[in-house]
Amino acid sequence: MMYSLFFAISLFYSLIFISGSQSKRVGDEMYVSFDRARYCVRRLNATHEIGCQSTTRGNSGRMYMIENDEEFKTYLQGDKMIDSVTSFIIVMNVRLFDSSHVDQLMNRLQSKLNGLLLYLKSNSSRPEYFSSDDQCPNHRYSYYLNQTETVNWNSKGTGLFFRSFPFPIMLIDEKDDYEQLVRFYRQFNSSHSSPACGLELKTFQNAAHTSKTCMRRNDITHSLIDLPEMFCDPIGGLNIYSKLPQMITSIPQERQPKSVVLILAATDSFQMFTKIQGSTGGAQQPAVALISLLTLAHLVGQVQDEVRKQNKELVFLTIDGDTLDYSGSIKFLYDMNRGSFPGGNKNEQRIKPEHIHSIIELQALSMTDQLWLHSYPSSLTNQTFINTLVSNQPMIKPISPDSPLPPASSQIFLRETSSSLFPAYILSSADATQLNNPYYHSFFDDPSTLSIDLSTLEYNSTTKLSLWVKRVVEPLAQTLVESFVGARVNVNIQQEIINNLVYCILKNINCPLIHNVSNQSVGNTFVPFDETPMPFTINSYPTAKTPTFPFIQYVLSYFLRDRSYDFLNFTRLSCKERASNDSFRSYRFVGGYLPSLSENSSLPGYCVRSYLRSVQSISPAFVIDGYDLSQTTYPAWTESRWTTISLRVFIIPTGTHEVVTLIIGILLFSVSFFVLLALRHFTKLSLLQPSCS
Amino acid sequence: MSIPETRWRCEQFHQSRTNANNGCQIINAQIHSDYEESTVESNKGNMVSLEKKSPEERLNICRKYYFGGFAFLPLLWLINAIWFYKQAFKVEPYPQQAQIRTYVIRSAIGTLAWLLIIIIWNVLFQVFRTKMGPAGDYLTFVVPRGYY
Repeated sequence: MMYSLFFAISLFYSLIFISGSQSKRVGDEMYVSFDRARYCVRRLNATHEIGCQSTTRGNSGRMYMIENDEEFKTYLQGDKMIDSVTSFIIVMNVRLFDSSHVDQLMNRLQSKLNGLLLYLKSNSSRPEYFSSDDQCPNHRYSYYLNQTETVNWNSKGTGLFFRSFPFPIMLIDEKDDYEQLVRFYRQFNSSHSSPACGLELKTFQNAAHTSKTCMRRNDITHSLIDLPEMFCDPIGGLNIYSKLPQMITSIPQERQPKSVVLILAATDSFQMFTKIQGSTGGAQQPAVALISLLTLAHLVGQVQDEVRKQNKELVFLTIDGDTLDYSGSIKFLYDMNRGSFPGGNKNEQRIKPEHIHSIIELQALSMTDQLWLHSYPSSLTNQTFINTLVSNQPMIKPISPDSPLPPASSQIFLRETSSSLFPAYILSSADATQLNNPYYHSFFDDPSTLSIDLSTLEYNSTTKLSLWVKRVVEPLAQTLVESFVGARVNVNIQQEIINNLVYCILKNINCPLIHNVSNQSVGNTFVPFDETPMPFTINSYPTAKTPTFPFIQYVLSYFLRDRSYDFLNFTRLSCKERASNDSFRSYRFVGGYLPSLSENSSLPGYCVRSYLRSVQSISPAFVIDGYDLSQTTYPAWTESRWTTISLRVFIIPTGTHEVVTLIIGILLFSVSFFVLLALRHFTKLSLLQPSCS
Repeated sequence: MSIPETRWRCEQFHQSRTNANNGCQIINAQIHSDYEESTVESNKGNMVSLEKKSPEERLNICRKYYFGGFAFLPLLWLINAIWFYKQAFKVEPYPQQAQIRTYVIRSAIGTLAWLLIIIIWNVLFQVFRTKMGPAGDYLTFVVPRGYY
């Protein structure tokens, strides 16, 4: 009775205290976390793993900041400091991130180097060059085109992307994050004995060893417990192709040899330091090339009546997954050789390599004053085409055929056909020896390198870039139509269309353009991506919810639509009915994109008749049954899965502090034992007796 | 009276009686009336005491454990060997002791054999898990994340 009353009273009081106090977690008071940090992840291929890895609980160590080369040398020579600390997290200026500095650090510190944090002081203090790709990009395996000489296209490339680090590497690029970090550092790391700042980097990656091991582990499931845990995903997205819908060769018609012209561009890029919400780079490669491809498609769509008179098909193709060993192109050619290009309809006559007339690729276009036309091989290139192009646009300079080709998807097209069936033309800002992109394949490759101020860019603003694109693509379209189709037409595209494309791709993909060219349900899928540009990262299969592919699909197919339907009054239902009769083309009812329509047509809605196909672009290694992923016949890149990424600062107490904490803990421990013994001795509560055996 | 004292009293009582269980219950009933708590248990919660069992019952238990261990249960053999060690070697001989002794010896041998098998397999697995290729991964119950 007494005891229950005592218990009730104590419970009542403790409830009052709990509700009255402001509960804070001790952990939150100890750490300051940086949420906007970029991180490096693990990727695997058939033989190696690349990237960075941390432990499950995060890598922590004493923070040491290195601003420039002098401080770097001082640090390496400071033996006393290095010997007295067990683990370091080096905070380094991003300008010092190259293989020589990283190698020196790793050799000097060995296992004491627990992580690397890079910082960018401010946007105006970017390094002049920053590229973690190889010096000769995409040149690792023998399934590339065998070229006479190796050219270092990316001469400032450090190659650090393709190395494997046993510690995590992260990067902070926000100015206020950097300033906060510096403040902590100066406050606490002034002398060696005072409490120091420590950092904890957590970027634990699930994947390990090679793609073969990782994909095998994906499938292991001991179904007694729970769902199988995913370790990695194959790299791949969608290859999208479209052409004028009126020109379809269906069985039993015969397709003429050399009647198809492929026009291609890439849709992906990579960066060593990724972030969930942030600039993904890829402005100079491939965004400008993609914008140019879509503009070219619109121009061809404008003159479709002329183009149709000849029997040549102009197929526009975007390839995803080429940044890592050309997986997308290899898959495309694999499909073509097996007779599944174009796919989707059994009755459409297949395109084989002998039907291809030539390939035109738009690649690595920066806003340079001169553009270069690479072509290969010299035995098959059409000199009149090159001459016409140069005369139409003097900015374009031809490079002698049989010169080494820059890293471009055409290399794979040529190699797979032994360069004997069709020529490839690459229009690029890369000259004979250099890519001319200082930030090739890094997150610094953003619209500011194209003289675009993103904060003032509007949907309709005319920028230097859009003027440049118009200047380049109009003569190209004219030459294309003249040379391949034989018709002399004057092509002009409205500047507004290019402005809109630039805005949508580089600033905000949820723009009026995409809503005008697709129906409402598709348009709604873009709303979550409001105020974000088109992401240019490595996509993995199953294709994540990236807006890139729907955007390209709907815009490309709209630009190449059958324009005769612009004048016909359809209802949504009658448009749908058309689709049931025609299995080759797609029909959708949309609001209509005004700058693309002629002034004569003004209807409330338009039925769009178009031709569109999309195919998975994962490497054939993941598609072939029973393929051994450790072979190098096909590229086998996979990207790891991860859960939490965190970057936290905390204070490492001095040695004295730690010893005092330990002693107090031991004292409390022993005192509690004595208290209990005393209680047992002096009271007769049966609760404290040993229980009956 | 404390509880240990109760048990001592029970066992003293047992050794002078053949019918083991009844005597203790009488004394336990007295204890119940002294204490208010009902946490004092009768023989129900106690461990089986071999001294209270007849020799035939002891042999029966030993045999059950011995045969049970053949069903890939080496712990039964281990318990058998430890528990009946005193009965087999240290107590004065009685007719069933010879058979109990063989069971105990064989259980001990079986335990050792199993111990050897388990240790060898453990070492082999840890050393060769990564070198076995796919077999290593399929034998692993919790596949490691983040390292090979």
